[in-house]
Amino acid sequence: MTINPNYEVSSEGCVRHWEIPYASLTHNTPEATHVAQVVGTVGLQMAGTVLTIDAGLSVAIVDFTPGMVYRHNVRTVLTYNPGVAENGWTTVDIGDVVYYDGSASMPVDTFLSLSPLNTGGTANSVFGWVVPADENDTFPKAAGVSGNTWECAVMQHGA
Amino acid sequence: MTINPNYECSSEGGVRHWEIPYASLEDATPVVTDPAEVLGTDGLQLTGTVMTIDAGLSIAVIDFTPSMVYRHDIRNVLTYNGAVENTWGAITIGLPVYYDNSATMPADVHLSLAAANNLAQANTIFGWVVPADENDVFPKGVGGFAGTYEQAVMQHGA
Repeated sequence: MTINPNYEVSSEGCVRHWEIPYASLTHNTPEATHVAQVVGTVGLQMAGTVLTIDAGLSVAIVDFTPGMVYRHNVRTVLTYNPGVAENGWTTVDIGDVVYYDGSASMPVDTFLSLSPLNTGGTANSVFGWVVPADENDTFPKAAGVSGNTWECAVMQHGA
Repeated sequence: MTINPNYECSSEGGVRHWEIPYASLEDATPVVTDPAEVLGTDGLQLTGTVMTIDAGLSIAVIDFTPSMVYRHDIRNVLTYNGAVENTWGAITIGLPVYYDNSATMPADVHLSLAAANNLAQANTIFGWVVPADENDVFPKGVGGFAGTYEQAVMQHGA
């Protein structure tokens, strides 16, 4: 085994927590620990994880740090019958792309899915990627006959 | 309200400052505090904010840290037609901001709302509009009227 003694050439880091008004969020009743997406250009929206909220000022503190890993609920839906309902589901595996999905058919408190399009047929923005939470995390996670919702570790794309 | 008690899995982030030769920059006369874009594939270029320059060595030190927030000038142009600005939009929180090398851009302005430049080449996303503080007012500008605004931008980085 050859260990490179000078492989690290850069210094270390930072996090990014930022206040976003409720009115600028896709889901404008944010809750701590949930995902949040900022209203913007379809398919190119910035997203992160809610750290805390200020209900008085109607402002959420969102963690936009790229590479942060949080546990979030992920729906196994892959495709929709546009405008109607979920149509196809797939297993959840390490490395799968996870999207912020604002479809009305999503379960309560679930904002992420494997679907690049929502039930209206418009593009979802990439939220992050599935990663193992620890060495005991098992994959794949079942798609379900009519869909499943799994709590998964997701490495967020951030800003 | 359901609060997940074990939602945080990872430790914290990273910064990235890196030297780039002037000759590899879209704007080969970099200015400290301005946005910079490295020459590369249209629409997929590396971008950041100039921290300092070494005029002797013709090298700029650029902050490529994802999610850093800097104030930059943004042109509110949305589209071009016949190589000139054609439409303009209001600037609101969450809009993507592009590095725009169009010859029509005002001096010292490198960012706009246009996904393609005045030669119809893809612009690269530089970042997203965020509020600078709780007193920042939106929207900035009015659709249909050209303007340039100093705005906090959370940069995409590397």
